Amino acid sequence: MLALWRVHLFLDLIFVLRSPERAIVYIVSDGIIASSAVAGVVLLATRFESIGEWPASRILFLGAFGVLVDGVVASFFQFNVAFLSRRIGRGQLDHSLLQPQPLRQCLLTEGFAPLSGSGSVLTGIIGLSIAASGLGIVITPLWMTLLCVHVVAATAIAVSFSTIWATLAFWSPRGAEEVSSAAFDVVTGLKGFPLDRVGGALTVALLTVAPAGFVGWLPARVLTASEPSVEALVATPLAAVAFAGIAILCLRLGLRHYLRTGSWRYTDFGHRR
Amino acid sequence: MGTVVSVSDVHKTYRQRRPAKDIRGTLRALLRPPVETVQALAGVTFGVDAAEIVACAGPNGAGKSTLIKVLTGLLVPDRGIIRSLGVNPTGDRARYVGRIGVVFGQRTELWWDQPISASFEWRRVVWNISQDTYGRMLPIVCRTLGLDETWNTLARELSLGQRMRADLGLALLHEPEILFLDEPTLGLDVLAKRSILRLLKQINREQGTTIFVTSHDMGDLEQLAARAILINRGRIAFDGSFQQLRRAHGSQRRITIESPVATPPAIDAAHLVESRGEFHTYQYDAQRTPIQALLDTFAISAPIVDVESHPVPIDDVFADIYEGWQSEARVRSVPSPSPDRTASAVPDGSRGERDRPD
Repeated sequence: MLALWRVHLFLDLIFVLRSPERAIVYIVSDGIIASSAVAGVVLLATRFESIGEWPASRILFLGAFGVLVDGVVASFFQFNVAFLSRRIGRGQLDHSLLQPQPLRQCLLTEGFAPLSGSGSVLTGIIGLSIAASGLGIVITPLWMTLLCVHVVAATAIAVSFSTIWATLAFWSPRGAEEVSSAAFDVVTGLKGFPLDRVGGALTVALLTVAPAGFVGWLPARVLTASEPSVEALVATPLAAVAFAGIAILCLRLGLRHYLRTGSWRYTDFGHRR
Repeated sequence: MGTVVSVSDVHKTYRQRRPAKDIRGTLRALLRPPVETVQALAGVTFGVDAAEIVACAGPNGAGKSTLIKVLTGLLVPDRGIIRSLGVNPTGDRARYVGRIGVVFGQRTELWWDQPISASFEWRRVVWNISQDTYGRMLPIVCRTLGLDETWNTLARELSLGQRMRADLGLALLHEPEILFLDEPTLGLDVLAKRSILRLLKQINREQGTTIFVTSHDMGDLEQLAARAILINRGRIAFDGSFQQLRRAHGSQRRITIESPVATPPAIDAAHLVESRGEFHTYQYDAQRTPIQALLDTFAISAPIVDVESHPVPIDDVFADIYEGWQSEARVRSVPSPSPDRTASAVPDGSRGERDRPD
């Protein structure tokens, strides 16, 4: 895995160094786009000083956390690995199946582009730093560990959710080609809202059917609370395990079907570009 | 030499939705979608020896791509047994694909926004190619395929021929035991084709690499392979040498006569294939009509300046066979042919015979 990540880092480095000024524009614009997704809620909170029980700094923390998760997805799952339905629907999965390594290893490494995907990561870190300072959070090694665990867990949930939907493309390559990006948009679009008073059923829905709550609200609540409960601490990591398990199961079922039917549709658009 | 690929009674069918013809049909399809079964492979059996080059041909939809997908582990057959390099291709996929090389003519393995050199480095790591092998193979593929000139060019800036050569180079880097090529010369110019065919012959000769290639370009296949497998409607209709294929097709030859006449004379025992200026080409059965008789008949009507006799181009041999299959399929009302009837499109004695040079 490390060797594979290293070679993809090398590819990304070549891409960045070939035209540094273009790479900088790419990275900066990526950061702007990612922050604009949560800018509306943050600006509202700033204007009215709070949204419900959440003060503006906490809302900023919530938004920055979501941007950071977007950045991690962009850094580890580029080239449509996060939007797997595109690869499946376009018949590009054959390229991965012809590599002498397990498919999971291929998918976990082939989208690694930490330099070109760093725009959102940097924006997220800056936003989190400002928000943490405003909230008076003391940055300790334990808190940093907790942050990392939640970022990884939230990323896993977002990618797993997208992958679960993506497996529809095994059965309907043309119809479901864009389904994972649509699923991802649902999570991305809702992740910047605090869900404290939205009501039981809706909260449950936003933690299960469209798990946006796990990609923003719940981790932000844990990380900004002075003494979070054990249940709150483990909720997101456990949900990540559950979503990843469902995604692996769906992927296996889909692959079994794929090996029986294959793909008779092929377009190289988006493949390794 | 041992058998490296063994395919035994392999069947593969697909279920495809049939589009409705009218609105009523579309509405009915909502409740009960019309599905048709397509027999892509129907009892295919053959073996490939080590260091052999086998060309697989057939009309569109014959089952060539399905066969190559099944052989490379991308598809599981419904029925039948496949052993390649002693293993089931889909059984231990990751290890198996590390021992083979695969090139699909219309699909590139190159990283689009990267120079060729970066894709080769990526390949070295992903395929876990040792420095020894990499150091030995890289100069060979670069020299033979002329990759030095484009080594630092971005993949997206390459011409089709350059891209194809780079893809073939990638597939050869880890010294695969078997090379599967699906339409490797599609859309290439003669120079690119020549360099690819030259390299394939070289690695087959020097490294004993087994090559299984499909193509629509029969001239390329004949240059490359000693053995041809013809597939029609999922069945093997012919398996033998190109010489046997020509013999099976009949003792047809062509003769081009140079004569200063605008309208070439009609000859009973031959039919005019084409007439360009003073060059008139006839096709005839060499066993039934001696060439002398043909020339005598021509000379009665027009003077002869020069004569050139040659076998029927292999493309035309294949085209005639495919045409025969098509007309046979039209005559038959049952869409799926029986093996014997399919084989009858190629004259008796051709099916199943193998005549490989030593």
